[in-house]
Amino acid sequence: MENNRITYTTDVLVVGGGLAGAVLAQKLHSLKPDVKITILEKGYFGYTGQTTKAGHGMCIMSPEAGDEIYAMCKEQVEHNPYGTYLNDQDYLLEYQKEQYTYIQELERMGGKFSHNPDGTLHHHHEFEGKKISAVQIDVDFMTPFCKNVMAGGAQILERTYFTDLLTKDGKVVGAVGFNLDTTEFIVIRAKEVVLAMNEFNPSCRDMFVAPATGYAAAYEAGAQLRNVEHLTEWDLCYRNTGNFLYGVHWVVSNSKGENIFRKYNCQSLEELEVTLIRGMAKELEMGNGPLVADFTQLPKANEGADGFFHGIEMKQRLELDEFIRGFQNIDLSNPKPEVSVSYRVSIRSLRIDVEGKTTVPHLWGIGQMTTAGSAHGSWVHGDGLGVAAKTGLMTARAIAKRIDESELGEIDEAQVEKFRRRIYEAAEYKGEFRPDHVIRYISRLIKKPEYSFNKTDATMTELIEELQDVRSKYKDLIHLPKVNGHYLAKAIELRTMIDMLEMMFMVFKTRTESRGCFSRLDYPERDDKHWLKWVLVDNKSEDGKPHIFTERIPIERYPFKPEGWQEIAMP
Amino acid sequence: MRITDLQDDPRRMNNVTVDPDLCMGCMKCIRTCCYDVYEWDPVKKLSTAAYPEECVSCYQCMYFCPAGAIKVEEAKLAFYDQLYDPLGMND
Ligand SMILES: Cc1cc2nc3c(=O)[nH]c(=O)nc-3n(C[C@H](O)[C@H](O)[C@H](O)COP(=O)(O)OP(=O)(O)OC[C@H]3O[C@@H](n4cnc5c(N)ncnc54)[C@H](O)[C@@H]3O)c2cc1C
Ligand code: SF4
Ligand code: SF4
Repeated sequence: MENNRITYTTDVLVVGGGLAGAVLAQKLHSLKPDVKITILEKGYFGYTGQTTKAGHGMCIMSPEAGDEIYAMCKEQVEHNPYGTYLNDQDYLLEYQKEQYTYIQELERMGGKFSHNPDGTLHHHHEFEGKKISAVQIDVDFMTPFCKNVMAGGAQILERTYFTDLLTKDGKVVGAVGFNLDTTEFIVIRAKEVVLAMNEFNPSCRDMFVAPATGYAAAYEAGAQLRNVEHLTEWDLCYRNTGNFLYGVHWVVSNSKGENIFRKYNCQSLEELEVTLIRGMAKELEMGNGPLVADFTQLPKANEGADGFFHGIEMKQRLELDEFIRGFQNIDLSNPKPEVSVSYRVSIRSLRIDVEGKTTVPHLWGIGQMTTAGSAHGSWVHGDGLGVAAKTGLMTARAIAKRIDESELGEIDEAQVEKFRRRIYEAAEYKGEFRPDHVIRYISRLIKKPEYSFNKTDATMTELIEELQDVRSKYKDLIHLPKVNGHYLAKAIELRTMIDMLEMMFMVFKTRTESRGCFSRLDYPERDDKHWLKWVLVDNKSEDGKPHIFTERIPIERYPFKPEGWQEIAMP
Repeated sequence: MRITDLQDDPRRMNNVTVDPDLCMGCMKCIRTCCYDVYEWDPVKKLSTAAYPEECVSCYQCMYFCPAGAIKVEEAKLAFYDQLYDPLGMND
């Protein structure tokens, strides 16, 4: 397939125009007005991206918490179910240092937040005794940042799908991609490249679904991924539609009226623990279905109640559920609707340091792409906007300090040609199905109980073999009904999905323990003695397979340590 | 992988339609859908729901459409039900 090639040259290339990318671009321009910034966005700048979907607001350290950063961070290390004690505590402390003042900086940049009548910032105070709070954002939160970025003269390449990073002598020198409307091939030379493309989430038909393209490119360019095993989430949902039902998993009951949460001795009012999921599955196997959310068990008021969703008036909680049910044609008069669970697994694992540097020179990472990779481990669930904005600000400052010394690197034309061929290759496929058929097949496959809440070494080995089998066959199975940008992107997303999932399950197999939301049937306990370690992946192995290795967490010099750390942490 | 596994169960898919009599071609749905469901029809100068299989039920398009031309119909069954599907209880 022959395609027009357009080459651009810039100082800083930002891939992904969500909140992280926009905040970085605006801040960098204010610090260094002469630096040329280019934003590459597959959708439309300001309209697309997860930022436009975000719900309840932006996390902050509660102003009531005063200067208690240490107490706040301690909570985040000890109680965070995503990678408990797997934090980079240097990063975490640096990240939280600004407390809530970063909101004021965003406000000065044009961001709109809710205010009290007296003009002070409105926030939700402390959640359930924790020092976390949140501020409500404007529905069109992205708009002022986008306007300011454009007014600052940044070049915005919309409908441009990034595919690969260009490297020379181990350094990043630019990127390639194509235009989704015209399929033109795009080459960009840049001094510094910032990835801001959000997570990889293989859950089709879910608002969080997101392709693996960015991680695959970073990996291929030599970047390390860290904490790939961090993110598994379960939500309660209505059985017939799969739509979420937040904060009522503790009233799930079986057909005999038994409360499952209590029957299986569950503890967390916030997260769905694996014991609850396994309990629900067991009840169905025993013929005690269907499972229902018994709204009659919900208290009418929240007096004395604890937990995130208990903080909301129960009346509002019930009204909200009524609203959702009404929208989905679910019988409103039924106080016990049937429920099931919805599973999500994702990668937010681009390894960065406190400035946003990846392990490859001239490549940076910000936003939700890095939440687990930075190992700040804080608020992983619910701080997506905060991470995007804060890392955008932090990395803008770091790039501003270095950009004057930075130079354009040479482009390796052979590499450009290799990437060009790979983008358009799918136009020649002659199979029966579309790429998205295979994507949905894989998305369903990985959700099976034996690969999610009941995974073991044997089942994961089986899954990896299945993924390898799909890799060997998919080119013969698919074709593009139209050779256009949409299907070219789908074919790339299929290829990178297989690669990243294989890597993900290889990492899952490596960690022979359960920790917080990461759970295995064959290793059900947390094992600090052997697993106060990060699992890392890069492409530096001889055989071309992902190189998986571990790094000891320097727990002895961190302020927060698990019990018995003296015996377990020393080499 | 079996070939039947690659076929979509229509009960698990959303249905998205644009009413061509109502659409006034403002392109808001095209700009706002993060999953590339819509495509511009350059001949009729209207939007079409070309890739409804990508729809995630965020309703952003319906919210923005000034003409009320869009209908997003929810799937009848969850895309994958972790508890009931493995037991064949949704078949
Ligand atoms: C339904 C929902 C509710 C949420 N609620 C909250 C909440 O209440 N509070 C909170 O803090 N967080 C919330 N989050 C999370 C939060 O929205 C995100 O974590 C945050 O917006 C991420 O910002 P980002 O800039 O990293 O990514 P995004 O805003 O997703 O931006 C990434 C951009 O990269 C572009 N891109 C991706 N791939 C490519 C490519 N190959 N080529 C070119 N461009 C590409 C995308 O189009 C997108 O515009 C929610 C998320 C969802 C989905
Ligand atoms: S509901 Fe959301 S995903 Fe579905 S077509 Fe509309 S904007 Fe796109
Ligand atoms: S938003 Fe509505 S009126 Fe505008 S192009 Fe889309 S369907 Fe047509």
